[in-house]
Amino acid sequence: MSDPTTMLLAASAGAPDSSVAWLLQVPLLPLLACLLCGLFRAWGVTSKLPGYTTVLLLAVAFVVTLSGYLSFGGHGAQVVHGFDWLRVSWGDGPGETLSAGFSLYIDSLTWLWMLFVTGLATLIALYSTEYMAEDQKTGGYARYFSFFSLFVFMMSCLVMSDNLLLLYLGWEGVGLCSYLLIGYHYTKPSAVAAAKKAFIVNRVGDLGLALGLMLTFVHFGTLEYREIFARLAEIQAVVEAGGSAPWQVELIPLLLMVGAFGKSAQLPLYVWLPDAMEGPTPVSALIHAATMVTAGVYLVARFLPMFALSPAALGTVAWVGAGTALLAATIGMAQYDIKRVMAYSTVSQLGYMFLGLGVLTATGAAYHVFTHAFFKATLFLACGAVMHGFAGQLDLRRLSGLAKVPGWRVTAVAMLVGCLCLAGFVGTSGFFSKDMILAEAFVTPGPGYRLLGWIGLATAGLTAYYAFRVYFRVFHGPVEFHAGEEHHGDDGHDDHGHGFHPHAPGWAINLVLIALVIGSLAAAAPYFIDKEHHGWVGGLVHSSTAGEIVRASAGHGEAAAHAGEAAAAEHGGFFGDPHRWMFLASSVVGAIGILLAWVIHMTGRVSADRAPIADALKARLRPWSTLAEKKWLVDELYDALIRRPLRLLAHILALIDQALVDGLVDGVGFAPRLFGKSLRPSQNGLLQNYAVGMGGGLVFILLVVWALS
Amino acid sequence: MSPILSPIILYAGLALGALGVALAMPRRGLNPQMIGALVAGIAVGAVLIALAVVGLRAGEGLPGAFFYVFALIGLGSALRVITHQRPVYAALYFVLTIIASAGLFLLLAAEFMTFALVIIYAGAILITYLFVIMLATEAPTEETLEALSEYDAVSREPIAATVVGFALLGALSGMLAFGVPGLPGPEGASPAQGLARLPGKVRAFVEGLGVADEVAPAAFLPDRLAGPLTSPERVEEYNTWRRSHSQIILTSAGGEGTVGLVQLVPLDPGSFKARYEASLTDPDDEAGLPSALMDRIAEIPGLPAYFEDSVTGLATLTVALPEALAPTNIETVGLALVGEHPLSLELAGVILLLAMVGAVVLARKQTEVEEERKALAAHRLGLGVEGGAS
Amino acid sequence: MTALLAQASAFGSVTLYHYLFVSAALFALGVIGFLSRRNLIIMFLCTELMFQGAGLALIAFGRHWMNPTGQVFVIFVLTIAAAEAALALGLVVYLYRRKSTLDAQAWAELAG
Repeated sequence: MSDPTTMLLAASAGAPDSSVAWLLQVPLLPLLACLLCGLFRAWGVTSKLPGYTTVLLLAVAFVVTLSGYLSFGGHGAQVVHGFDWLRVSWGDGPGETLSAGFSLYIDSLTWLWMLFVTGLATLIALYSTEYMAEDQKTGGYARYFSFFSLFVFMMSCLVMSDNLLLLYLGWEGVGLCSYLLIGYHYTKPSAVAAAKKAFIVNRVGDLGLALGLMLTFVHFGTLEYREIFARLAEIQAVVEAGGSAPWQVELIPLLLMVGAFGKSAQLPLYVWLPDAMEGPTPVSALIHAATMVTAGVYLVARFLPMFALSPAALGTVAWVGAGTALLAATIGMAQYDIKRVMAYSTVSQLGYMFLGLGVLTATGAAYHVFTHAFFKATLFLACGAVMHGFAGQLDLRRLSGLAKVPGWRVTAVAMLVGCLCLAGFVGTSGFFSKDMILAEAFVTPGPGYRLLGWIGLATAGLTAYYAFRVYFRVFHGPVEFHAGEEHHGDDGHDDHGHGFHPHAPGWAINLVLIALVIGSLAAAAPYFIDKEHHGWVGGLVHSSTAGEIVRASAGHGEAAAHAGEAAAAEHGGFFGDPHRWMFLASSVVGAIGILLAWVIHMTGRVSADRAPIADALKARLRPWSTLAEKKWLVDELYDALIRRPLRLLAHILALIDQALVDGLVDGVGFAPRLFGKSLRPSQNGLLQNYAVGMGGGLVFILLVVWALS
Repeated sequence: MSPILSPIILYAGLALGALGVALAMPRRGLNPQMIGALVAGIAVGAVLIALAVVGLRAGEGLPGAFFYVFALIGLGSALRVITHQRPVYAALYFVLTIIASAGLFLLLAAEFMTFALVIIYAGAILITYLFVIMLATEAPTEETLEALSEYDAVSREPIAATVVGFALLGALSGMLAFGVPGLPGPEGASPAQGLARLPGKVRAFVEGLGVADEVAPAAFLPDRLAGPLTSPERVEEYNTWRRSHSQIILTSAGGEGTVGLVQLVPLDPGSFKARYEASLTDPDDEAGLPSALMDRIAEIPGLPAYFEDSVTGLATLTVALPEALAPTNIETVGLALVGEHPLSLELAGVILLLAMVGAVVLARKQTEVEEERKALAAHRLGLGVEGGAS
Repeated sequence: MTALLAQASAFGSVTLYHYLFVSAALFALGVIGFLSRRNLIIMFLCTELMFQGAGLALIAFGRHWMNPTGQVFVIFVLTIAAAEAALALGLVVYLYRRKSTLDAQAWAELAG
């Protein structure tokens, strides 16, 4: 294996390679799918053609990605130049040309993201062909797949771009698609409100990203990754030699971080993600669990070299990540809507990823992104299958024992596997990825990082509890179910309850679920592939820019962490290797969580909504249980702190507008009107009155002539 | 330019005049029209007297007595036009105004305009007015014989109107009295120029002098015409030849001379002299003026004649034209009208034609409309009756 | 006639200003009448008065400058006055038939 450093540097210095232009297919195929589906919508296609077109094109995109990865081996960086998108020049000097091409920056980090983005998008699109079938006649079907493809295109831009501006385009593009898809049921007020909330909350984060982007250009004079990384390497050399980084380099990561927090639903901007579950479930699975929300993680990982130069940013990332993980987990424990539980678990898991980035284990974070993408997609799609089959029923108090209902075995198994992975059960993919982060949290020096490790560990226990709370309540216990409020016209059922026959998932949903179950389980395998770098993902991260800087950074990162491990190993004993220690600790914590869930939600349960121990506990823990169920009143807090003052301000401004601005404007109109009104009597139609004016004017002109001469 | 009139006198007179006119305007109740007219007359008279005193101071006597008479008559009757409550009387007073201003025109040596004014205005237009006044007035009955229409008896805001009118008059007369420098007039023109455009008149005069006869180049007389003119035929033949060989072409000063020309040179404003130049060169013969002819011309008695440039044979004869030869007013106006403003003349004709057509249309339309309306009403009535019956 | 010609450019003691004053006074009286009288026919008569004032000024100026154009102008003024009288009086008759009054105020409804 050649030295990745030299390869990276060689690639960084090299010119764009035109022989790999076919990689442009990866973003362009989804775009084609988007356009085709738009045309189908315009032509009024009511068959499943848009769905299958999308699946086919996305599958081709995945195959292209895969073959690209296999032929380039995941080492080094390549730039594929598409076309000059933007080039504004106002001088010849450095930093006086703003150029952004539609160019792809291909390194191993890109491969990692694109592989699971295109792969999962293909699977979820296939799932959607069946899930969205009810909307075929209304034309929503083609619209849905058009937005879906557009999302994949935008995500490709975001991940594959070779400059920050194209990344920003993708960033805003996925935000737009998220908005469009959350508001897919645009006749439903709650969906519209959720879409607006997602969009507006994301604006806050995007402002940070935009500012970071501008500051980057101002400071580095370019937006292209290669040049930025080259400059960063110089700055890093200065820092290593005892110098200090410029303040801009410390500020940019903080600004980028704000953007990442918005997109990846971290404190304090996480509130949009749970509401985003108003969108169709496949959308929740792909956009709001597997891919888009990891864009923030990608951004931080991509610019980890810069974060490494800004301790403040790193610490913030770690603490916010851990805090979000804990908070979301506590909320998730008390929710009854299973999709909402999954949403909070997503927020929580994203918190883990940021914790991982904060403690400089980009490997752990990326691996967790990878495994999470699979098992969370599995969980969501399983929830979606339930929702689809039970007419929109998502309340775990009204569903029970589904595993015993014929036709739901695949769903139950998928849910079980997903929950196991989420809970970090021994040997599952989630187990390895989560342990990597937690172990690094304990050994990486940093402001209170050891405490973060404990928080993470506790959260792991909570995660196991709430995951299996859902599983036990919905899939086990006495068989009981009530239909939701969405009636399927073709089923012809009257009200929910008696006589309701859930329709079990069809071949597409089951096929996708099976594929994802396999994927979730198999996601553990990469951990054993490349032992040198903590697994295959670690290898990918190592050969990307993230790994590059982390390795080179002295005083931070895994190098130091390994040094710490070595030092700890000298003390000998079991605690010598943090990973081994963590395997055991988290196994125990996870098992306790699962056991608790069993005890609380299975023992003595007689019906769907009555679990004696759970109810007793809930009553006992009041008011904390109520508060958690009400999401710690965060939404209400934001409402009181931000929305109401803003509304008040808007009212005040409206008053000012009405009184002052409108007054001025009306005054402008009023003055001539008053003038005209005062003059109107002169226009009374009497000939002589006009003649008086003429005579007076004549006198005036004569006097003027006389005076002037 | 020094003021020709004291501003105090002028403006005091105008103010008094305004007061008088305002008083004279017809109004309801106490109607001091006579007092107003008197006051206005005093005011105008004062101003005019002041103007006359200016003339007296200049030591030129009071030759413009007719001017003052006409001016007073004209202004006084104009005041009655605007103040009289009965339209017929107002129109008649207007006739008086016109006659007075015709007198002023006469004083200004515009005789043609004087008579045109009297004929057209007093004779035609005012008669039309009287007809319309009679057409548009309620036929008097026994009771309302002396009744006046409200709109005749009461004027509308007389004070405001008077103020505006006298403000205008003040501005105009102020400019007159105190001078407006910097408004140069056109170049002065003399009657001689007008005369230059009346070649026939001059020619007749010059021919009447017999100069042409004398100047006629007898030396070129063909042999067949030589000798005594014994028969009328011979006389006629002689005259024909003489006219064809002795052209008198009149042009204005500086015009291109041809065979012969009369130049009218304004030697002094009151008198005219014509310079008569006769080329005695035979067009067919370049030999020049024979000395015999020179001698012959020199012997013409009673003419302050002189000849020069004997080489080219151009004879110049300066003749003093009598004042009576000056173009009359009608000739001048006619020349100016036809010679200088032909387009305007045409336009005036078109306007008159259009006015006539318009008047005809106006007169036709209303009767037609009324008849049509009557026919329509009758038709409707008939329909209604039929509809009611069925 | 000869005596008049002898005064060619000088008016004797009666100067151009005398005539202009009279013409201005005629014009002003016409204006006053036009403004204050309510009878449409009298109003037209007053416009004729103003014509008279203008015509007098034109002829006086023509005499002053020995220019016949002044008189030519008065001919045109006469022409226009005749045309105007024909049309305006026709209109007056028409209006009188419509409202049976000659009051100018009766037609104030034509206000724009």
